[in-house]
Amino acid sequence: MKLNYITLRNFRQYCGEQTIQFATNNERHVTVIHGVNGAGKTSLCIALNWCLYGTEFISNQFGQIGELVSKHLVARISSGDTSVKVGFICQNAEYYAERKYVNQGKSSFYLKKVGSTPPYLDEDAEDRIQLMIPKEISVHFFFDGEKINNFALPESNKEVKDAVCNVLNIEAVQRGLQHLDKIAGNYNSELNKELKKQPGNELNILQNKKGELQKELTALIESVKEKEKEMAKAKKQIEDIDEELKVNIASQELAEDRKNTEEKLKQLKRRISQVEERIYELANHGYIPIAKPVLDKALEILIDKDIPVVTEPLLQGLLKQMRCLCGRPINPESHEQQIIQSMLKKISSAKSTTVLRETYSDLNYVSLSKAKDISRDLKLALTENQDLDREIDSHEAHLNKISKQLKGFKQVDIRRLQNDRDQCHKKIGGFEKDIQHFHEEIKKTDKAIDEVREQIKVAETSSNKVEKLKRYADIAEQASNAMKRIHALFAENMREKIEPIVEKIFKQLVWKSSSFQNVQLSSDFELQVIDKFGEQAKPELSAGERQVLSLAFILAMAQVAAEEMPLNMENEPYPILMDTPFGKLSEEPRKNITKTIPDIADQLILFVTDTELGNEARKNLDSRIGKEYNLQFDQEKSATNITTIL
Amino acid sequence: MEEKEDLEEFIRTLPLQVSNIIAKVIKAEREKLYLKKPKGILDEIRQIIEQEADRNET
Repeated sequence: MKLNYITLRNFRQYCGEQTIQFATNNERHVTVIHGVNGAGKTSLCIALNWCLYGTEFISNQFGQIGELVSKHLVARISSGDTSVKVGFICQNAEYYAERKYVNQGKSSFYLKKVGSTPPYLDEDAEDRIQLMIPKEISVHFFFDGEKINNFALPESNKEVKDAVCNVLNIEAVQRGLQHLDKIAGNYNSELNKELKKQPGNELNILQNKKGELQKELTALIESVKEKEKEMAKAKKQIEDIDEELKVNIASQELAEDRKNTEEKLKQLKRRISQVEERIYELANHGYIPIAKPVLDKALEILIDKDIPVVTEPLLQGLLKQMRCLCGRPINPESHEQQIIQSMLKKISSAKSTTVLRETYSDLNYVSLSKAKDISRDLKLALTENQDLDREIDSHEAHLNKISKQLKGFKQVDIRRLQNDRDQCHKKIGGFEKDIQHFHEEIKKTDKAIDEVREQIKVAETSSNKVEKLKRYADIAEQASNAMKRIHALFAENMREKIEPIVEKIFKQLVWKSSSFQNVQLSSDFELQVIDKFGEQAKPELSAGERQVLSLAFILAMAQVAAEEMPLNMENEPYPILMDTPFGKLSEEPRKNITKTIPDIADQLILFVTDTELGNEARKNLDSRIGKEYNLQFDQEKSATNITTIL
Repeated sequence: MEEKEDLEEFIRTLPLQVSNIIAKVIKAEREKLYLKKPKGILDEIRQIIEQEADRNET
């Protein structure tokens, strides 16, 4: 990137529109801008930075900068606007960027590539500039001479380290490191939360519980089978006894009677169970005849309490149209309006009435058609149930009678058979009870197994989550640790890359080069000058020498920054703009610097005071100066005029 | 030069999963730094980690 020009319009003390063309010629690439203190050199520097990076950036860089708008303009209450336009060449294409002041520090910004449309606007334009010359790095290209000393002060390690990190693109690594650390921490806290929810080996306990329950279930099913087998055996025994009794002439008749009675009893029991089911079904609909009188009574009470029979929307509609129920118009505040309002209030305060009304209406519809049938059917079913009960009792009594008769027979065989039969019956009764009990237990166990299965499912989900979180936390920690090491190695690498460049430039700039052996950038990023005796010379460095050291560092950073530019900008030339860089230097170092810097920079823009360039220094620059200006401050108008010298 | 070799050597010793994550994280951070606002970077990095971890698992 090379700067072509800067145009200021009503910016700070620059009134109207004024332009500075910068020297871009390869041989004469130095622009010198002269100005006494307060003439507007720093304002020019601010204008360039404001145009490219905006208000927030210049506030950070230059501190309190006051108003951007020309005071003169404000005094004249002119309608002219405030803007700065910067023209530059980047990657062989011509661009111009313009920032216009809107109000209260806000501005609009656009970037235009000459010969191509449309321009990039605001955020998009700022992103493009960031790609060409990132603002973090720009401080090494456009720097304030008064702050040069910062890098060479004994306690300046942090500034130096920050500068190295910014220039060398380490920021992305640093941010990545911070973010990975944070994310690893997040995974660990999520993991702890999850582990608290799922204490110990819950899943194992549940699996064991399920296994136990399944064993219990199998045992119960086996018991049922066992009892059923025994029951079948007892039934078979009864059949055999009955056969024997039938064969015996004395008991034949009774045995036959019993067989028939038992058959009849079986049918009766089948029927009674059907009737019971019917009663249950009818009873489920029984609420209708029961609820009807209750609802009738409730409605009667509500009507007594004067609950309106009209609906809420109807009343609201009437109020809206200001009409009575009969259709005639009503006046505001009239008696009719008050009645409608009072009815509406009653409705609103009794929403439950509406619900009751609707429920009643629904039930009424059902009950009208079915209530009578339900009542009749239920009565019939209950009567049949009672009849069947009686019949069953009578048949069972008859069977008991037969049993007693058989037990009272003189023949020992018949008595024994009947006794055996009774024993079998007793056993069957016991088996039936046991089987019923086992079935109930099976039902309970099945339910318990289902519950445990659900718990296992939940625990498994949680366990999978824990496993995942463990994996993520582990890999995030590994990545974070690796990033820490990479960051350290990378910074170290770059420190070693910068060190020889600083040393080379320092030796070119300093006038007592033979007094110093080399310059080192220590592992904790302290700039150190080693004297010819191999000792650290920094504490003894003069203010001027320290300024030269800082200058050497900045120039080295600019050189490295140009190489480390992002996204295909590596070999692009870059301008160096120095605002009053020679303040603390005597004539001798100025001569050295003015001789050397034009060779280091691709384009050099120097802002100097009237005393900064002495004869010798000026002579060194003469053959390289392509443009030269003077900033003249008009005290009467409080404005600066730019006049061209060359 | 010696340190540079160390850095490269160190990167070579990293498990593939970890070096993939680092490369993707730096790329995402650079994109955010140069082109976009930093919003959403934590979610993006989380996604990178989970994708790499799950990919290795399957």
